[in-house]
Order: sequence, then C-alpha cells, then structure tokens
Amino acid sequence: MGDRLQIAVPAGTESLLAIRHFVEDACSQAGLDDSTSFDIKLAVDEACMNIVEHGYAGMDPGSIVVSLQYGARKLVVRITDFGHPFEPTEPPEPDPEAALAGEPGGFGLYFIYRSVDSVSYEATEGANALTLVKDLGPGDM
Amino acid sequence: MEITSVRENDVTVVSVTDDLDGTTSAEATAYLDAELDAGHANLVIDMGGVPYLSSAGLRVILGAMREARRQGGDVRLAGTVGNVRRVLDMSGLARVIETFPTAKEAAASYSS
Repeated sequence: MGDRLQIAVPAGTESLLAIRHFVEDACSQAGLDDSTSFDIKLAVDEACMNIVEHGYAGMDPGSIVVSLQYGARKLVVRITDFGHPFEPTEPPEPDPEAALAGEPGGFGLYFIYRSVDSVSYEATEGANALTLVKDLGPGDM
Repeated sequence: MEITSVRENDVTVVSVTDDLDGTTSAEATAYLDAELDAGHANLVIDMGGVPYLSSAGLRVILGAMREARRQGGDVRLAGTVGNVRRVLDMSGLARVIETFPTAKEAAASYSS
C-alpha cells in the first residue's frame, strides 16, 4: 500500500466539500477512473454526512478524521469520529414511494454499501472507525 | 451555489449550478420552498449544471416533489446525466420521478 493521506476537519456540513476534494485528489493521484472515484467520493460523503447529522447529535460537534491509503489492488478509507457509536448494517433497497410519502429514505447507508466492496466498523474507547474498501482490480496491493 | 428560475406558461424551470449535497441542501430547499409557497407547483429542476448528487440532494428533490404533488403539481427533472443519473437510478427514484433530456422537454410535458 502507498502512503497514508489524512485530513481532519470539524464535523459540520461546511467540511463536507473539503473532505470530498481530499478524496478526489487522492483518487486522481491513484489514477482511478471517474466512475470509481465517484463511488468512493459518494460513500465517504454519505458516511461523513451521517456523522454530521447523527454522530454528534446532542453533543458538541467534534472532528472527523478521514485517512486514505491505496495500492494497485484496493483503496482503503478509514473514517473516524468521536461521537455516538453507530454500527452500520446493510440496509434494504430504498422504497422510493415510502420516501416520497415522507418516511426516512435510508438512501445514505444504502449508497455506501452499493458503492464500495466492504464496510466494517470498530468502536474503541471514545472513537468510532468506519473502514470502507474499494477493490481496484488484480495486482499486488 | 447558483440557482435561477424562469417561469413560463405556469411551469417554473429551476436551474441549479453546483453540487446538490449536504453543503447546499439547505439553500436549495429554501429556494424551492419559496417557489412552492408562491403556488408555483409545476416545477422542472434542470440538473444539467449539477456534477454531484448525494442522498442529501435527493431529499431536497423528494421534499419539493411531495409538496408540489400536494398542490396538484409535480417536480420533473431535466439533464440528469453521468454520475448524477447513476445516483438517481441506484436510489430507485428514477422509477417515481419523470426525467427528460432537456428542460424544454420537461416543461412541455406539463401541457401534454
């Protein structure tokens, strides 16, 4: 795996763009095509949006740390926050009719699972780490 | 973000130029709410200038669509291409939202 790139930002919607640019730059360094970069950007953005909306609910917003490492075979993004623990599980396919009727869509989590190849979560003392892995094809890391 | 609208023959075409995501969703919602509050319920959102769409952006569209339909109107989309189209397809919303290649065609669909 190559060098680890990292960004730490306050957990607010105003940081989402900076995170996306960070991911975009890293994907371009890694030489990924537009569609693969988009998948990674979307998954990271949705995960960070969840942290902004729910992770720090009812508490002072802390930070979001996004670190990214890639090799020839895969790209790994680790997203860490210090808010409420939230262990994601793969959601069912969203129901657009229900969403239109005003029910929570469940789109964000669904997009994460659809856009990357593996999602794992680990809570340690005070920190939550979500790891997203995107397979990039054959090769040695 | 830049949002502009043109109203013609009871149809309002709202053109969005920016990502439609968590950073812009509040502004986009406020803009569409103002149109709907004015009774402009036949809406077209021209997505031609939107390079990125996330679930927060989808919620903006869904919210506007809910209110528009309540008023007897609708929200129809134009210019959804590339990755934005992929997000729409992935969400399943492409099944409940009418989409058109151009804003002109989307606007014309209200009189057919």
